Amino acid sequence: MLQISTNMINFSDLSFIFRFLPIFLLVYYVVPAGYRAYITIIGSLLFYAVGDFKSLGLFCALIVINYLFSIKVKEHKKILLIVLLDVSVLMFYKIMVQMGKFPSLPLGISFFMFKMISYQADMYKGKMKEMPRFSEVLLYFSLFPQVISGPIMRYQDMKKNRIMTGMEDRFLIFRDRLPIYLGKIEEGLAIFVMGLAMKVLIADRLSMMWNDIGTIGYESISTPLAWAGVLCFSLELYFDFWGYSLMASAVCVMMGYPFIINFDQPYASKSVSEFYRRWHMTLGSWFKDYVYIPLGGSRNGDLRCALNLLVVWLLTGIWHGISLNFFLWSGSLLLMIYFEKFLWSKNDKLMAIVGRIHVLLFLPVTWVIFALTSSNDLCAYLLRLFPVKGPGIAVNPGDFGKIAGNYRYILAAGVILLIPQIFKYIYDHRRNWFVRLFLMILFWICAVVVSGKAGNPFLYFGF
Amino acid sequence: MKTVFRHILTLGFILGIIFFSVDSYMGRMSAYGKYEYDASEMPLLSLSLRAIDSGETPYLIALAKDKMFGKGNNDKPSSEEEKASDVADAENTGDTEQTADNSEAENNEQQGQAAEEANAGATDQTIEETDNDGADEGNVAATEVPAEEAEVPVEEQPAEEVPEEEVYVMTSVDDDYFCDALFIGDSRTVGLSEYCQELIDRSTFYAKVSMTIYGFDKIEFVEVPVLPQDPAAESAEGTESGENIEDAGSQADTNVLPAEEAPADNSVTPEDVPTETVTIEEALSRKQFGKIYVMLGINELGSGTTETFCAKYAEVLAKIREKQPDAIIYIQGIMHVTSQKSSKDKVFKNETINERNEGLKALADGEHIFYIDMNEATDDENGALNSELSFDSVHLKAKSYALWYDYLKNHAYVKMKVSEVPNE
Repeated sequence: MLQISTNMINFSDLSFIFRFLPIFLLVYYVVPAGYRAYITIIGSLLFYAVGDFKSLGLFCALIVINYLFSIKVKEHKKILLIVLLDVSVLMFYKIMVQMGKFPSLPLGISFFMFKMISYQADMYKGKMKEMPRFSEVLLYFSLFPQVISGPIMRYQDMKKNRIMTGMEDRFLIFRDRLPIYLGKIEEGLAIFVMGLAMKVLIADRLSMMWNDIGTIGYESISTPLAWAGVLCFSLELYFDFWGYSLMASAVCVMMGYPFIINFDQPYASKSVSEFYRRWHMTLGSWFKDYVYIPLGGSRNGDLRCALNLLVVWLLTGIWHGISLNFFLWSGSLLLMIYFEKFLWSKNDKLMAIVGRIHVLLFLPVTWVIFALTSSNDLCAYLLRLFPVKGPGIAVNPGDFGKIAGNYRYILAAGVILLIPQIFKYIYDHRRNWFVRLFLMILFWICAVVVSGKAGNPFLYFGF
Repeated sequence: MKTVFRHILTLGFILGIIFFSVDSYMGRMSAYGKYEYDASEMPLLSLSLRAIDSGETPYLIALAKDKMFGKGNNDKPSSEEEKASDVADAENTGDTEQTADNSEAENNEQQGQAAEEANAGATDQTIEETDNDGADEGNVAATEVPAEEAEVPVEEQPAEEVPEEEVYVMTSVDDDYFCDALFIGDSRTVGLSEYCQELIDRSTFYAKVSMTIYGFDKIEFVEVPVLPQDPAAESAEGTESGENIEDAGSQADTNVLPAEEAPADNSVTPEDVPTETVTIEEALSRKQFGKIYVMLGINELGSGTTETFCAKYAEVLAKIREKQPDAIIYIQGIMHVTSQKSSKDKVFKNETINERNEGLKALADGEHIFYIDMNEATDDENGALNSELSFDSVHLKAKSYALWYDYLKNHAYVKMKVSEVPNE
């Protein structure tokens, strides 16, 4: 049997774009509507198996347990039990990985756990109109575009796919169906290409710059380069994750789901609180709906609100990883949010200015804290960022000119794309044929760049 | 027709897949034969895409051009391509452009400018990297320092009246030993040129990211003054009257010559000295060095065998000997990678490095060519690069270059009379 490389689960990999995706879509649209859910389940489990075969058993077991438990959750009211079980499985793996006992987390566990908990909570609160069938729950948890890192779709949104349910094309003859199918695919492709370009043309290039900075060693970078690194990593993370989210949502759109917005121009925000409503939005709204609001939100006075925020950000920190830097990261964000909520907001003008400083200056620095999991690295980097302890070791002051110079167009492109109107224009005009043509050319450029990278291991690390 | 325009992306996607798949299938034996292809890793059409990425015309289009305009118009018959691996291809064929790289050209431009600024007053020329062949972040550093600045033992001309035989002995030397040294290498040597202050101040570097031994006489990146038309002027140039070629990306000012060395006539600005970009081989015939250190080989790991690599290396050494008959040539063993990299990577394995280093060792003649292995300074107990010294498992961190330099200082060969050689 043909050995399939695990790269296939990467949306920007050629074997996903040119093998898995087209074959899946072809089968998906050729079979009668009633079978589409099953095709998707098979495809999704296959996708998962290719990515992490060892964890497939755990994944399926968790799905079955959660389903069985949820059937009577409304009656027996033991929702805390299943939430605890899910969370402790997640924590067990996080701790094991942190201790080095396991090489990596089971694929997507951090994300499908959110789906499982929200599903239990929705069942408990009686939000489902009818008792879900096992196949529906299996589909919801395993849906391949979302299984690795979101976006975290809600169960109710899954029901909005009229292609999957057959509502849209059930009574149509083939000649009338084809434009519907092609329309979905076309729409999805347009979004997919935008995400692919962000990932391949911007984020991947910036990650090379970030790698170049690491190669020098954080203790030996000049202060200007350290700040360029802050910009570089902030942009890299943004376009990497936004690009990924666009691609994931785009694949869902190709299958008939509504488009899920996961990023909404966060850097145009006026405060950190707003930033995190517009950054990784499905995660933020999950925490809001399933942690913050149940705890009472901001309705029970300032102290209680501050406490609830503390819980949310503590959990956010832990969820990203159990290491000091993630606590520092979420702690510094919490601090800024406290200041915004209880201090700056007393004065509109002050808030307007300080809020922007938070988002555009302090927030990027928090990303560096987020990036450097080793406390030695973090200390070294911060000391170069704020050189209070004098010059570093073997610093070459020309490094900024060299590295920032090498990547200046990419950095500039990243900064320009922060302007909300640019993405909005392309997105709003995605049905124009010239925008489509532009996207098509962009797609093949990305494909060429990806192929060059895949075929040439040296491109990433030009020795 | 309406449907076509409404689904232009899907159509472009499908037609692209069909075209490139057919193209790859038909060209897989001929034009694309040089690409390593693993069906489990990539779809077939990646062959065409990779060809485009390295600047070639897809097989079918090239074929169509042939048929329509005759052979002559085909810009690149791909069969002539070297059989080396992708790496070597990317680096060796200077004219196959990588598409992805705009930053490259700017880099040159920018560094060139810096170099110009730094170098006012030198009669010779500031060299800084020029790498138009599209390797990823090309970089060269070249620093030249007048040889008379230091009295170096090797420089002594073997006087004819002294009958006594002289031999090279390994010993420790001071910083000024490196004043007439040239370093040839890849990105690792580029790192040395950026983070070893002692050498930045003293030595010359002909080093470039992704350099290979095959690039010695192929890749034009060393910037040297254009040869004067007048043969008399040419010899004047050879006197090395005070000259500073530097790594413009870094130490723009640390490198400037001591005031008394600089020519009094400051009107000779770098703009007045036209420069050209040449291969290392050509640059070696323009200027003489006392010591030449070579470290190449990491980028060649994916291509050829130890035999082919060493054969090419020997050829290069012979050329260096011919052009620089008075220089000591140091073959530096290829630096290891970390054990983590070595155990996971398909190409960068320390076993391969050791095998090739053994081959390189055999090229030393103990007379003019010596083999030294700086891995002694940077290895961990497993004979791999100490992971604390490196971030990316392949390059030293800035602060680790001091170990390399110390090793060089303690493993230098100096000419001595046989009678003076200490017996041990």
